[in-house]
Amino acid sequence: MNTRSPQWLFDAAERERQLQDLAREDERQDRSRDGHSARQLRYRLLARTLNQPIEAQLPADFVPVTAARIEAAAMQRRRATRRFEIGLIAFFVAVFGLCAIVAFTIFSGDWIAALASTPIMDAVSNPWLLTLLGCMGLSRLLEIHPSMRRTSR
Amino acid sequence: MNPDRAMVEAVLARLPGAFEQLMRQYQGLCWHIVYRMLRHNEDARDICQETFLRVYQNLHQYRYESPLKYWIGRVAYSIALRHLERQRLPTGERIEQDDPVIALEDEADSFDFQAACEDADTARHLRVAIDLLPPVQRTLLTLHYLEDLPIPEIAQITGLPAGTIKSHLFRSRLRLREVLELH
Repeated sequence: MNTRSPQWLFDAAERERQLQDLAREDERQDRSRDGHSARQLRYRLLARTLNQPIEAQLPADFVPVTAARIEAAAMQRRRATRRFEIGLIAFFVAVFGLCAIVAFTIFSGDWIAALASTPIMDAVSNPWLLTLLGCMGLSRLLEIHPSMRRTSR
Repeated sequence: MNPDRAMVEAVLARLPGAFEQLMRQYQGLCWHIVYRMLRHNEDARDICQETFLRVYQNLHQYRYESPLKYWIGRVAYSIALRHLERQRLPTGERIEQDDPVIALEDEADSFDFQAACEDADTARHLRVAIDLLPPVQRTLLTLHYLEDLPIPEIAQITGLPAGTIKSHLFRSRLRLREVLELH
C-alpha cells in the first residue's frame, strides 16, 4: 500500500522524468557514462535500443509501385468524371433541344402569324431585297475567306 | 520558396515524379508510425499505401499551417489508429492509473552497461518488452527517439495533449526500466 505523501510522489516522478530525458540526451550526444547511476545507465541502454532502426522495412519497390498505382487510379477517376460530365451535358442539351422542338411545334403557328403581320416582314419578303442581301453576303464571304477566293478564280 | 510548398505545388500540378519524390521523403516516418502501431508487416504496408493514397487525394486541402511532415504523420497515425479500433484491438490511448511508487523508490544497485549492450538476451528481452507496450506508447517512443521529435511536434502528429504524451512516455520508460532491472 502506498504510504508516501502525494508531494513526495510528485517530486519523485518529476526527478525520474528528468533522468529519463537526460539519459536520452546523453545517448544522443554520446556523452561519457562515468559516474552515472544504475538507473540512469538503464535509461541510456533503453535510449540506445529505441534509437536503432526498425528491423522490418518496406519493400524496396514500395515507392515507385505505389506512386504509379495511385497516380493511375487518380487519372482513371478523372477520366470517368470527365466522361460523366460530358454525358450529363449531352443529356441536358438533348432535353432542351426536345423542349425547343415541342414548343416550336405547339406555338410556331401563332409566332409566324404575328411576324407576318409586321412591316419588317413585308420588307424582308421582298425578293429584290433578299437578292441584294444575298449578293452582299457572298461578296463579304469572298473577301474574308482566302480559300473561297482561290476557288472563285 | 518553402520546400513544402514547392513539393505540394509540384504534386498538385501533376509534374512527373513529384508524388514519388514526396513518398520517398516521408515513407520512413509513415512506416515508423504505422509499423509501431500495428506490428504486422503486411497490414502496415497496406496502411502505408492507404496513407499515401489519402495524402494524394487530399493534398489540395493542406493549408501549410504545420509542416507537411506532421500533416502526413497525422494522416498515417489516424488511419493506423482507426485500423486498430476496427479490429477492436486496444490502442492504449488512455492512461492507466497504476501507481508507479515502487519503481520510483531509490535502489542502490549496479548495472554493467557494456555487458548489457553486448548481451543478446538483454536486447531480446527489451525488444519483447517494447513490443508488449500498448500501440500508442510504442509509437510515441518511436517518434520521440527514432524520429527525434520533441513533444509539441508529436502532439501535432497524434493530436494528443502534450501532458498526455509526457505521461505516456514517462510510464512506458519506467516500465521498460523495470524490465531491465528484473532481467
